[in-house]
Amino acid sequence: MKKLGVFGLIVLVFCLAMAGGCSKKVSSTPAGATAAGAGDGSGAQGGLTAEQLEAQRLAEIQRQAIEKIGADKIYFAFDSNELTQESRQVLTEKAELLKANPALSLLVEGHCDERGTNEYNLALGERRARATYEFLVLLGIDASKLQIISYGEEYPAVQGSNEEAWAKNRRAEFKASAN
Amino acid sequence: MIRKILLLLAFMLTTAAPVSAAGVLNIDIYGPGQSRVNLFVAEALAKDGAGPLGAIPGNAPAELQQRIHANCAFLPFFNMLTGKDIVGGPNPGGYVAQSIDFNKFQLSRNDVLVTAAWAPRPGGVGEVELRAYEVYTKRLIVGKGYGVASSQQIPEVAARFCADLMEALTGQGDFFRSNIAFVKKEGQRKQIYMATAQGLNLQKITNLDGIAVSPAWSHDGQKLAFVFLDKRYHNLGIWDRQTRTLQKKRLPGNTLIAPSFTKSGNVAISLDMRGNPDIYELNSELKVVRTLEENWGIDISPDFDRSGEKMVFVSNRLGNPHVFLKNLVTGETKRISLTGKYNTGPSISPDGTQVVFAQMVNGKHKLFLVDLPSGRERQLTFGPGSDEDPTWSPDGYFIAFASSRSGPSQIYLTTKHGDEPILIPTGPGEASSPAWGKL
Repeated sequence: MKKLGVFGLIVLVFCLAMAGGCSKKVSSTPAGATAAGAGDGSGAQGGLTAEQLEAQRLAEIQRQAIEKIGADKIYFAFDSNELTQESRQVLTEKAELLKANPALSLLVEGHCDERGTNEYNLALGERRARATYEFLVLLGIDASKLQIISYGEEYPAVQGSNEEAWAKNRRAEFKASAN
Repeated sequence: MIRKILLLLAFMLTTAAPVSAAGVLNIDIYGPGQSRVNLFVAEALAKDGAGPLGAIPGNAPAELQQRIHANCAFLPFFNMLTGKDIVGGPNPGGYVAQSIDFNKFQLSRNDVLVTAAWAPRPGGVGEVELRAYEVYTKRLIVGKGYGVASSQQIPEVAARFCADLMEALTGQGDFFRSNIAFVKKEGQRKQIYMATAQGLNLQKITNLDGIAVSPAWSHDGQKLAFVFLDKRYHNLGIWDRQTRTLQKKRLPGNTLIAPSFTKSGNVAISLDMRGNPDIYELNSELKVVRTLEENWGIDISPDFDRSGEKMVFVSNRLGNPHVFLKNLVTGETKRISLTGKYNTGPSISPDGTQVVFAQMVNGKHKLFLVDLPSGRERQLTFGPGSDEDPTWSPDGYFIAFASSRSGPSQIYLTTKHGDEPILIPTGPGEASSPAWGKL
């Protein structure tokens, strides 16, 4: 529910950032494809300028980057905020995507499993989000593009009281957006 | 409000001094252990010459009897008797000492007997005289009269009588004059609620789009602080009980954890504005004015005694979360949770002598209590499930906490002696993070 809401917001922001609205983009895509096929880039053809086509292409790249950045979470051990080798690899990929899309900013969410107590888990979620943030800064991401939030144990990814569920809930999630 | 409407009749009945003064029946709730007394709440009688009890509208006499019984059942030093426990039948025969048949109550091992006498009242429910007698000596412990304008006042009458009875027996009746704020889950959201310590007068305080956590009362019970997590930020919420207004504010840093009030009425809270959660004091404009605890690790969950000298908090500076005590006068800090590897959620007793917290034992949390003068630590609760977020009552006798012992989290009550936990009914939905405040 929350994820859909955030995703919807991202799509909305993205659409507003474009010259036209979502509906315009959808309806004009076939015309744009024809225009691209013409390939002379000399101006208005089929209702879209070359600049608009380029903007559309970039927007599509950005959309894919947002999706890719949000897709992979990283996971932590119990009561730990240490980044594993695998997490560092995932973050390196995200850093490359962020560098390739300088218009994107990123919200890093720190989450915990249900075993700790609520207040300590809010602190632990902060430690996880911050460790992630600091590694991204180390990889050259501008700190002003990054924000962290801890949700403690409030939004588990998976329901259940077993190690399998807990392991999936001790995580950092990533919400990229263009603004 | 109700207090004003309620007409407390002039103390026409002799209000007895606390029994402890007379040295007859005395329950020492603060001592190393406590005695239990058998209490019986007798069915109501009509006041002499006032006509039949049936003239009292509704079911008021029976409801008041049931309420007093239910209230007293929250007190672990009472063993509640029912009608069938009384040899020769539960009717007391009268409501004042001269006409009560004390012999059968004595035979039934009844220590304290409560009687009620009703008279109709034009334009209202009626007038009721409530008395508590010590059966063995036939001595009046408490005698009070109340005018009841509407049946909605019955719980208030029961609470006030029980407060007086508890005070007469133990010297302390604040249990019935206090309330508990807590977090209630509603779908994906969490909101702050409050109720009396018996689960009455349930009120919803917040209606926010997100997660409200960690409520805490100011020492005078007038302000409630909590943290609110929305879709992007942590916010501090301050609710004013008098004006019923809610103030929401973002603070420096990204993370706000576990606010608490100092003696002077300032908010202490953990902020990560210097890179990790440390404890700061805010002024009345909610600006940071003082660092209370700063360390490389996590420092959260401050709680203060009434004198304002002592602060307990949680830190992982030694590797695992442990409870620490800071003397705010000398600045000295020491670890006070001596066992276990995960100790969180401390609450210090109002007099600053005892600290209760949750320790993880085999993956579940249980309550532990440290006596500061002796340094002795002992386990208070034993499950099943997890017991978390303990909070002291203003009288320093009860401890409320959240527990999953019967399934989804609910609020329970125990005492500093670790008495068998009693559920505080708070309606449907998970309830957690109780915070005890003055009424």
